[in-house]
Amino acid sequence: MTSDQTDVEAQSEELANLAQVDPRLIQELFDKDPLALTDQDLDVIIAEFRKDRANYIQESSTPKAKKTSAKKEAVIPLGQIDLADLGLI
Amino acid sequence: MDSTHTNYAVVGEKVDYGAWPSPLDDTGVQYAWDSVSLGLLKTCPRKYQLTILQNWQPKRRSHHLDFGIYYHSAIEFYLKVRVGEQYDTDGVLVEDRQAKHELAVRQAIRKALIDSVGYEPGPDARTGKPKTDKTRYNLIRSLVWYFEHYGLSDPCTPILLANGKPAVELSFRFDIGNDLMLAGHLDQIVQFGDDRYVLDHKTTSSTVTGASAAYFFKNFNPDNQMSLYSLGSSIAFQTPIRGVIVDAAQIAVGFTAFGRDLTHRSPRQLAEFLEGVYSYRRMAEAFQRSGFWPMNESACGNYGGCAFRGICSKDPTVRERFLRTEFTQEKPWNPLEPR
Repeated sequence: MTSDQTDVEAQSEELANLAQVDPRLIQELFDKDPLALTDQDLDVIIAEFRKDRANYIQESSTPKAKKTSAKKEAVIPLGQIDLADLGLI
Repeated sequence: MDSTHTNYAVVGEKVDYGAWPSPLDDTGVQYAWDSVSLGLLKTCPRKYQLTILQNWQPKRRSHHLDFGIYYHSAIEFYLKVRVGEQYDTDGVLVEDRQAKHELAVRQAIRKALIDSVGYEPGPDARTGKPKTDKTRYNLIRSLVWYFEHYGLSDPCTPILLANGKPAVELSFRFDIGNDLMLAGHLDQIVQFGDDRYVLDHKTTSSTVTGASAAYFFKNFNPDNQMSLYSLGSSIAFQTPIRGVIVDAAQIAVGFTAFGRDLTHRSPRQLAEFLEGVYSYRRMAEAFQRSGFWPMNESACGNYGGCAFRGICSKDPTVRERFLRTEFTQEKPWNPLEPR
């Protein structure tokens, strides 16, 4: 396994481990009459958005994985090409 | 509606400012100016006449304005609560800074949710699709992120007034000679390092961090509002003000980013700004005397298009009919009314 591939896998694992924000939970609370929201409801909203921010900061600070190039084709130096090998004669 | 207190004004009728003094003198020329009314006159005399003198406003208020108001109000509320006395559910005075911060955040978010009930940005004028940036969801997200980003570690702290309250949401007015007055309403006066500054909140879709931020922040010099704050804050509050900190929030679909920059005015620049106010006042007097407020056609396309473009593009004989259909005259803009 190349070092690039281990980097990509490590970053993917790190991102997967971030706490997931539940947008449905926030929307349910948003749909309630705000005068009826309890302190606990508000604390849930605040905690979800704080989680959201932590995820954003984490994702922004994670360097993008280098694009791993496909297995490089062997390059034959000029002057050493054998036409017979290429089936041209 | 009681007809003696009607705020309806048609061409030629007088606007009723209710309990507040009129910003117009006996000849109908404005003597008390703020950055909004001054900016309108500088942009287009016709737009100024329609908005300020005749009190026409679009029936649907700009969602940018609404979003900004909810955002500003919640932050100022947070500061007032954090500085003031707070009690927990057992009635015990809360003194721990972190606990006060958490209580203030919760109350500010509650206020923002209450204030923004029913708020939605409406469809994009070009695409017809719902706008996805300045939504209610993103308002609350932006506020929570703001309190996390700055919160207790904010290097800019509101100064305390003589009454012990934080210097937030301050209205001011002062004479500038020539029977003129300037008025305004500023968000905060803060201590930053050894100096005091006005701090003004802005919400935008522009980038406010990194190298690209300069493009956004350069809009504030020259700028009516920042010049007025620079001039007015020192005079009205009798405290030396070093400049204005623009406290910007970039409201994007999936995130909110925060950036600050300082805008400063030299004494010569402030003197030049005042000369400009006197000149524009003379211009307004001339237009009032002649009864004709010309259009500035080169401004019709600014900021997505003037709200009155559809009116000004009609024949003059039918404009009033379209104004009454598409606009409202509910509450006049009055620089002398504190907000």
